[in-house]
Amino acid sequence: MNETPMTVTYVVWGYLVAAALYGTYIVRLVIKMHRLERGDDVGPR
Amino acid sequence: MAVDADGLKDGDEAPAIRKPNLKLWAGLTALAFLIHIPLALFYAPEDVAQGAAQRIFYIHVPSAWIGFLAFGVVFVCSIALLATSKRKWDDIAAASAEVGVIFTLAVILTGPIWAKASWGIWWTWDPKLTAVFILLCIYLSYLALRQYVAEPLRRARFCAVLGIVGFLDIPIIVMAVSWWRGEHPSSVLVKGGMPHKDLLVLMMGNLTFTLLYITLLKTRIYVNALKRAKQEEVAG
Amino acid sequence: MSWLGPASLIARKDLRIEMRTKDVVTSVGLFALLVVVATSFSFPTSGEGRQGVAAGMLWMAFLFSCLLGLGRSFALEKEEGNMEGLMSSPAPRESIYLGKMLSNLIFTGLVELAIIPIFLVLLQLHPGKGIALLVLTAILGTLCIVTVGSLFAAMAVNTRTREAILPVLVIPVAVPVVIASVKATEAAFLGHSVASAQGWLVLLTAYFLVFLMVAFATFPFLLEE
Repeated sequence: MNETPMTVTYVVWGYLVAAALYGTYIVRLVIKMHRLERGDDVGPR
Repeated sequence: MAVDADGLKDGDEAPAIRKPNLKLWAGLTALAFLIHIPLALFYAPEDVAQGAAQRIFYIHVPSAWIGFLAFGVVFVCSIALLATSKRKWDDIAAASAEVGVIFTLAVILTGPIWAKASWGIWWTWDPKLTAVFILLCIYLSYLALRQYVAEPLRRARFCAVLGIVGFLDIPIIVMAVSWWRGEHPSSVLVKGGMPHKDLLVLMMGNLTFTLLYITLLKTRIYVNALKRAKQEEVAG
Repeated sequence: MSWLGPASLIARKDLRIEMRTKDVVTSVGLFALLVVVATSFSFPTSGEGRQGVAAGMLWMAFLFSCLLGLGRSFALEKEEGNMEGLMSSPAPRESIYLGKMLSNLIFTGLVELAIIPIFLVLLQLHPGKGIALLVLTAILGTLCIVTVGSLFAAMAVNTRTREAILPVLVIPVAVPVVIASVKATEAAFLGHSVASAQGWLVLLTAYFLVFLMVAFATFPFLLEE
């Protein structure tokens, strides 16, 4: 019974980490896309 | 077929950059996640031994399968590039490698969290996770190679060779790491006999992450095309 | 096989140059020795499981020496502008690969042959009956590394960072080779026979064959203009 709150914490962390990773990538890509469409230069990467 | 100044061939449809229907794909992906996340967090039955930690599985495993798919795409496109020298194969391979790295990174990050929750330790040199980690390293070196070769045709070819070598190495890596950890090779691949509900959520997960992959792939290819056009504009 | 002729010419050219200058063998040999010495200070070399540690140390030395030799070997061709000459010759492209692969195999092999006795003495190892396994593993493992290494070295010298990127390209791909070679070498240090490590040796052989074929198929594309 003691375990459940701990385990739930890990689940939350797991989903948050995944969301952060994918989310960061998506956001950066979308920002890059909009800037390029507007005509700005975005540098080497 | 026009051969562009940098040596890669453009198809007949080349000149205008067509924006893919990202709203459609992004919409489908978002919808899929809206279904999948609740399923994973609430509908899927809890594992007796692992408790709630098992739910990470529904992010971890689809990420792994789709990451693997991404590298399979790199493999096929690499062969196609060497055979035809058409730019589109290099475009798809480059984008797929990058997106694949993101998915694989998700596997490597969620794996230890799941392990810590289930078994109390962060890293156990588990054969599958170790093999995925090596795979990640191979595709990171692919991305590094892309950065360090200036000339487009040469870059495409070099990366294609690495894409082919890397992908063919995967079964050998899996075998070597499994034997190294004392595991019998036959248990390495598919988990047979999953409970009905678990399988359903897993399938939904695979569909969801496939949609995510397609959306990200199309976006990345589009962004790269825009960037290339921009660079030509600046140079010309 | 029309490859062997030109390949052996290229290999013999490398060997002739090396016999005169002794550049590669001395620098790589010294490097290998120093890696052995450095790892002796870094890892425990006595007690339980020391054969495993020793095997790991030996293969770190072999791997990095091999990469060093490969990098130099291809960098030299590029510096001298030999690649253009080789490409315009009627020799099939595959034999350029084969020739370089063979010369590097021989150079690294010679270095390893010298290092092994020193290593055994320094670490007080007594393979006994395992000596055959030790030598066989050294040959197979090195063969695997030069097979993929030659392919990637041809790429590496044409990048912005030259040979520096070679380890980045080779090491992840060569992980199975390192695992198999280290495990087989550990068995050798424990005095086991060739038969006991046959799984690992089969894996090394399979690796070599698969990537030799891939190299033959893809190397010509690396040289094309």
